[in-house]
Amino acid sequence: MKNKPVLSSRAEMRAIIFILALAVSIASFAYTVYLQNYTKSMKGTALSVDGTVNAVAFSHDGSLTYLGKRDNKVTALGDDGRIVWEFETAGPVLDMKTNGEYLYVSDDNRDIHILDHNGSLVTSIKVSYRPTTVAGSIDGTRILTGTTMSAMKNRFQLYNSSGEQIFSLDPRSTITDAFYINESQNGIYISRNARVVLVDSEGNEAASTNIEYYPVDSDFSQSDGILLVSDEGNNIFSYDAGLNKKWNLKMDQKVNAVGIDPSNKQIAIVTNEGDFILMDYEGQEITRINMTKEIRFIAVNPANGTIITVRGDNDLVRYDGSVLSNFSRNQTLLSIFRYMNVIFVILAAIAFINLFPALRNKIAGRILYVLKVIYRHKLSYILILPTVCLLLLFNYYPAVSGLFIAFTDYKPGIYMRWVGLKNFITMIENPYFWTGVGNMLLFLVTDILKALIPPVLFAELIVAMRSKAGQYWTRVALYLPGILPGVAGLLVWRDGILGHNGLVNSFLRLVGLGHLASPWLGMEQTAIWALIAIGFPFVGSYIIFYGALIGVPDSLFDAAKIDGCGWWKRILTIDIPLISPQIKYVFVVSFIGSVQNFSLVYLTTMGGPGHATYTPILELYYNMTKFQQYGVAAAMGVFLFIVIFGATLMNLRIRTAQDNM
Amino acid sequence: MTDKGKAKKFQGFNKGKGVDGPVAQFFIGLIMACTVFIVMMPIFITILSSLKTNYEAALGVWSWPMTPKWENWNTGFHNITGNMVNSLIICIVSTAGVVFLSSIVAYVLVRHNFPGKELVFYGIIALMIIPGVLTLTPSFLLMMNLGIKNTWWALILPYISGGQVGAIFLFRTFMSQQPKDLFEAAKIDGAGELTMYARIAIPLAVPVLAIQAVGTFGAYYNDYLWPMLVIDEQSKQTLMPVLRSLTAQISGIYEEQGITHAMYLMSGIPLIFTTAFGLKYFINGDFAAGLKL
Repeated sequence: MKNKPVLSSRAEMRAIIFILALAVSIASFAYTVYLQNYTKSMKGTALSVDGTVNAVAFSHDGSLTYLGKRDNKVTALGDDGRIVWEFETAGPVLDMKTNGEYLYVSDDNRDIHILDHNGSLVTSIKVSYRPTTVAGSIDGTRILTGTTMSAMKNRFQLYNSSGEQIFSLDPRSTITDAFYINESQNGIYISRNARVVLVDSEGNEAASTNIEYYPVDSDFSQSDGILLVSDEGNNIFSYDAGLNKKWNLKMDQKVNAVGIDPSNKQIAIVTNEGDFILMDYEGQEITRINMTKEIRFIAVNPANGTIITVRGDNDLVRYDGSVLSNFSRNQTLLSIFRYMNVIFVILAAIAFINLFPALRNKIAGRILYVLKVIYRHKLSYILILPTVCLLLLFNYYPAVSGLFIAFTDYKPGIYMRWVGLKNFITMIENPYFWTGVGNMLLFLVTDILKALIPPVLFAELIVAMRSKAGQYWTRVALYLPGILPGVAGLLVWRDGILGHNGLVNSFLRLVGLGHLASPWLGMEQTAIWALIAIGFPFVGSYIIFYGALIGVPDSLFDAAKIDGCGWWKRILTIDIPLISPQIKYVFVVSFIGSVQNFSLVYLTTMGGPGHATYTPILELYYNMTKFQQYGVAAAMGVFLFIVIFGATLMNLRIRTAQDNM
Repeated sequence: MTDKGKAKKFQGFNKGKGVDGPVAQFFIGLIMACTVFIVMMPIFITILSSLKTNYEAALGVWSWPMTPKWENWNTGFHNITGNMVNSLIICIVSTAGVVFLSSIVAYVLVRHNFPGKELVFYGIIALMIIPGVLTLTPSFLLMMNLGIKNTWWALILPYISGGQVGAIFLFRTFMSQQPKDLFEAAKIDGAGELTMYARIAIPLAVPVLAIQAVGTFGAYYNDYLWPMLVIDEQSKQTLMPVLRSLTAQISGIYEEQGITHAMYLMSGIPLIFTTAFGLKYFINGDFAAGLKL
């Protein structure tokens, strides 16, 4: 009687534990789904605008968004997206910048207007050429502008607020952007001829630097003194206010626009593939969001980090700054919760099984049995455990993940995106790839011939020696060059033998054929053949074949001799079939080695001259190091693996053919 | 005809024809002498060039160093020791790890019976068809993600792991030929597992362990691509990846071209030992019987 309530309370306890575990795992799942949607959607507010937006700026307190439009209007939008005021210009707005209270507007009618944040005109000046870009001082007294008349006639000019020109200089190319630096009162302009120039208040060039290609976009943060410039070569350059370069990096996609967000100390970048990238001030990528649509340009509100993206002509979306900075935190949370979910589900399953004592005991018995078996053989398992762990981590995991990475766009620690066959297409579309494959095949055929014919011949010659001592010392002498490391050996061949004053050319000069002496590795026609000649006379694995030939019973040789079988005939008809297992071994090893031979080309010609000696493994190396295109590198790895696997399969087939005979 | 002549004639009857004839033997000797000469050429050139002055080097490869500059060897050696010590530590640790772990696993696979033994064996053998080029990129990324890139662990751990595949296969074949009775007798005498491994299996397998150790050491000492990928700092780097830049650097400082070749020569010092050690095991080609496909 006493036991019953106790039992039922136990059952109740089990039920409560199960329900709790279930609730926790459902909650965890729901939160994961929420996080996933949050990171996927990244919802912003669409702004309704008429007409094409040419320029975006913000009031200094961040409350107003100014849009400069092609239909001769400057529109100020409030936080709620409603129009606060509008200002009519005489021509399409070309550029706008805010500094302090003032908004500088340049239009196609060669006017530059200074407006205050209520939209009332402070002053207007007229310039002589089209003011494609404009900037101004914090107090509204200085106006910087880059103007253009034609491709040849361009000016960088400074005016005061009464329209008097203080200086005018010729940048020799169209100016794409200009900034005014409050602290030093200098100006910066970026021009189409890939120059970034710092100009002091008298119009003298204080500093200048070059970017790599045509400039695309630029941004300057007044508060943090950072200038960002992107170019058509996908480079991003970061300078301080004194135009000293801090860093530069090459992106893997075309950069459409850059922006600085001083409130979150971040850099925003948009690409032509619709990627929205956030970086810290050092250029370390924090996160990447795919916006599905290409973004034409962006503007960052320095006061609060709000970002306006302009996609089409008037397709504007405003993103809250905190959404973006939360994004990276959410991604970390997401990865933690993915693991937590697994744990919670397992716990819930255990709690569920715990509800039914009979089932629980049965399962517990099974587990106990398996544990007992493992315990009985514990020594065996413990002894192989280190090896198994090492092999799983350093061999199996890379092999499997290699097949996977080949189909993704992978940036370690940032993102991994499925791209289907794109990496393979990139690989094949590389114009040098097929040249490389051609070279690889030539190396492959010659390497295999070199690994099989001369070594077998040398082994036969050694065996044919009647003097045992001669045999022994020949073997030893051929073995000794192993003391020179492969790298050193290659370098000696490159300089000492095939080089300008090398052995080959010296020999040619000695026998009076000096006119034939050439830089063998430096000419497109000879380079690859010179590489093939490295290692002459290719004694290679002679000792394997020697060992195999010694293993052939003497009676077979004697029988051959009595039958009048000559040396050559004996080699072809008796020896080679008998040593075919070793031949196959050397074939496979040299095949694999040839495809993977990196140092031969890298240490000698680096793929040159031109691309005469380029090989896929070299391209793979460059994709890993220079371009950091890990997906493409992995795809090339898979391609070479398939080539090697083909050889292995072929070899298996040859064996089965022989076995069937 | 004297007895001696008779014997000669008799010998001639048996061996004097075709390839065993004196003419053929003379040509075989000549061909092999030429081959040995050409094979030795790179080493010969290296030694010669390492002793030359810049003037003598400019005269061409044939020029003879009138007063050998032995100090080039000294300078060369002192400037590669740093990286060579790195190489030696990494290669010795890796080789020891490979031989030790592989011999244990091979022993367990041969002498123990446990559930999943077949799976483990075929799991290891299956790795033989995976070439390094497939795992190169993902292994590199793994080192990055594990945070051991640019440390010696990025060399030692993959070396110990990857080197075991072939070694286990070789050791297992060899150890399965060790007589079973020996182990049973030892067991009756009360020997434990570790005693049987250390006192019976290993001493009997010394030649095959030595062959594997020499091969593994040489392969890792000569490795070029992997250290170049995972080690960024020259001070941590093994010798082979830095040899080219190091020789250029040092011969530039001393303005002596000979030092370049002296450094090539000195970089081979550890291989002189392994070659001398391996000679005994390799030179008769006995191991060829095991290399079959």
